[in-house]
Amino acid sequence: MKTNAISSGQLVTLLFLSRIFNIFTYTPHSQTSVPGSVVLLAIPLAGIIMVALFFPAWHLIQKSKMGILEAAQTVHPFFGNLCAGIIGMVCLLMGAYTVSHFEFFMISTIYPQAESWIFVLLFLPVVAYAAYLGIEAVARMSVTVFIVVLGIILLVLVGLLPEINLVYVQSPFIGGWKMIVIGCIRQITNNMEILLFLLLVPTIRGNGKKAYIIWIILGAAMYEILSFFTLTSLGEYSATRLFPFYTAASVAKLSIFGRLDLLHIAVWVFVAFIRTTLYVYGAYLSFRILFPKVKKGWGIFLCAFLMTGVSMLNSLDMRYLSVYSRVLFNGVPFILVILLIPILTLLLGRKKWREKA
Amino acid sequence: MKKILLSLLTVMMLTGCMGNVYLNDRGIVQAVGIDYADGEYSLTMELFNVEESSADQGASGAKSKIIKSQGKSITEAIQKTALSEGKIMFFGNCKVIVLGEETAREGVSKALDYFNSTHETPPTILVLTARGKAEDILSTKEEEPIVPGKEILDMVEAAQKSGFSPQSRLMDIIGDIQEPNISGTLCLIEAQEEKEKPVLSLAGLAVFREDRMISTLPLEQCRGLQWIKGKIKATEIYIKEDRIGQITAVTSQTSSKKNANISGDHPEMVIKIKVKSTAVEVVLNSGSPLSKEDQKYVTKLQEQLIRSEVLELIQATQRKGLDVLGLAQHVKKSSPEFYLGHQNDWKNIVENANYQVEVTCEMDRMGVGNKLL
Repeated sequence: MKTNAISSGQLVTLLFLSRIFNIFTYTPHSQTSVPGSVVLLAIPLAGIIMVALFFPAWHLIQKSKMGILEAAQTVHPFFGNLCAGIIGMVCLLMGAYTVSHFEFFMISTIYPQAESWIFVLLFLPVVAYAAYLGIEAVARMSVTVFIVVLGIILLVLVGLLPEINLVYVQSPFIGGWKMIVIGCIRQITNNMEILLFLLLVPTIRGNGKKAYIIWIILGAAMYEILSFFTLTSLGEYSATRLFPFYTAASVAKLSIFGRLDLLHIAVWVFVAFIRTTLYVYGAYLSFRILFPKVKKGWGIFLCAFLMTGVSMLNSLDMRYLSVYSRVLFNGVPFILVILLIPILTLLLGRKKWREKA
Repeated sequence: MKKILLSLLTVMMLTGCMGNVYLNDRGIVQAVGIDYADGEYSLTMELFNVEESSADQGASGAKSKIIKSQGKSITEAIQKTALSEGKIMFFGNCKVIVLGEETAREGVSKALDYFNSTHETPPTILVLTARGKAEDILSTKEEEPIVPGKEILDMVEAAQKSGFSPQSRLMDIIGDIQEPNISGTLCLIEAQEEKEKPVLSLAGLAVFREDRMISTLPLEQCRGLQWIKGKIKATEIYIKEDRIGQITAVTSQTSSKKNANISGDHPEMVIKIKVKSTAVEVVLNSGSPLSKEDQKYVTKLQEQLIRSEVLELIQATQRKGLDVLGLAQHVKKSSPEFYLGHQNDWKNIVENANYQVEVTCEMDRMGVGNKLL
């Protein structure tokens, strides 16, 4: 693996774009949603917790002077393979979820008569090719997309200014602390990009810890701003819509642009592309540990192929996607790959690394 | 060579995933009216008539076509239209949805659910309530070249600017329906006979409890509501005083702040309205310009006028326990425990709430006339 391939700034833009995928197409579930005002408090609290949760993994990287996959491999080959397999699976499932969500959004809002498999089959080969080109190519693209995304978000927010009504910002404590805790947990468990950070941090030039904190702050700030504008411009209307931020973009009007939801869609396709590419690449990095003799092209092809299969299954019925997302974000995968694996690796490997040092 | 092939392949993929539909095969819906009777919906749709519109005529000469259909649901009625017309109905250009009076009384959620779910209809589409049947509203201009949907939209937008219509969009009424104790409002429209020709005019406000229309308010009270919401862009304030004369000012800036707190057992809402205006028509009894004291006096008269309109609206709605001012939202924000304890009895709370209205007016501009200097 090439080291020092991308800058810490590029890593921040990559993960930031991947992170905001969720807010662009967030779908509130009527039974399990947390009120908008609660989300506004949950976001910064979750950000603080995510900084704290990062420490075991960061400590592992500092002590071992390697990435998480390599560090697990040095503990014991079996343990390393097991960790690589789990991390690879999670990356595959996350990538498949991204593609399924992308397809779901497209057929809900733009192409209601289209077949869902078309989006899956068109999207994944392009993503696979991008992953094959390597992280450097995607990172360079992400900087341009980042600037465009910020510009478009700014346009949407300016267009929403006349719609803002602060009466919709209610006390987050109306439902008690339980809702705030649920909101925090949802914010944290949805942030599987921490796994991508752990996989990509060995490739960066610059300060990884600083990059992580900047990414968390940027991501939380963007979530907060978008949630605030969506809540205050749509109010209770957002509860009736499948994609509230997309709805807000279609409400936002700027004189020469008219409806801005078209810009939202354009930008979101790029964001979905970058996110899926990262997860394909992450899956490849993991499965390379298990199958070191497989060539890069075949490895990425297989990862994309598996992702296609899972996405196609999800696309058969939107209820499958709903169940799938509930399982993926129930906290177990998060705890497994972000906490358990790094802590176990740290505990089992620190003696070896001390001796080596 | 590889790059050229890849580029060609990519370009082939950019033809879109949806089958193309020619403009002539599309029914471009400009306005839709929904009436409900005997368990059936009657849809009246104004279609942009592509054949009758020519490049010479332009938009102002475009003709529209009125078509009607029935069905047990909105979707069924639309499907029947597609079958009879041989066109796929397209709602992306629809400017207005008119709900018949009966439909509004039965419940607008059922009628509007289709439009809230379809991706074509924008959330900002205008929704009006008709006095009588929606069919009568859309059929008034059937024989004329102009597009009624556009005319209705222009009329309502002008009224909104001057405060004689509330924001009456799909997202507004659906958002109000989601709040259990808020009374949503929609603009009320009617067709009146004038010289044996039907003429469209605004008739006031339709007020809803949950999703059913339960009351109407006259046009004059609309402005009272819009003062409170701070949504007036430019409206006239006419003052006539025996000693001074007549001064008509047009507002240049309107803002309002609302706060609710609990006083004893009742909520108290404080409404502060600030209005800046430009004196445009000044007819003074004396020949000399208005003194500073008289100018202050005129602004006091403006404040009284606005305050009386606001209080009239408050009294009319409070009597019926209608929360059109959003008292529930403000109380939930400032005193959530009080709201949670009384949310099931909100009609009673509204009837006994206190309202304090403070209006501050300033006539800070006078156009190019010098009668106020």
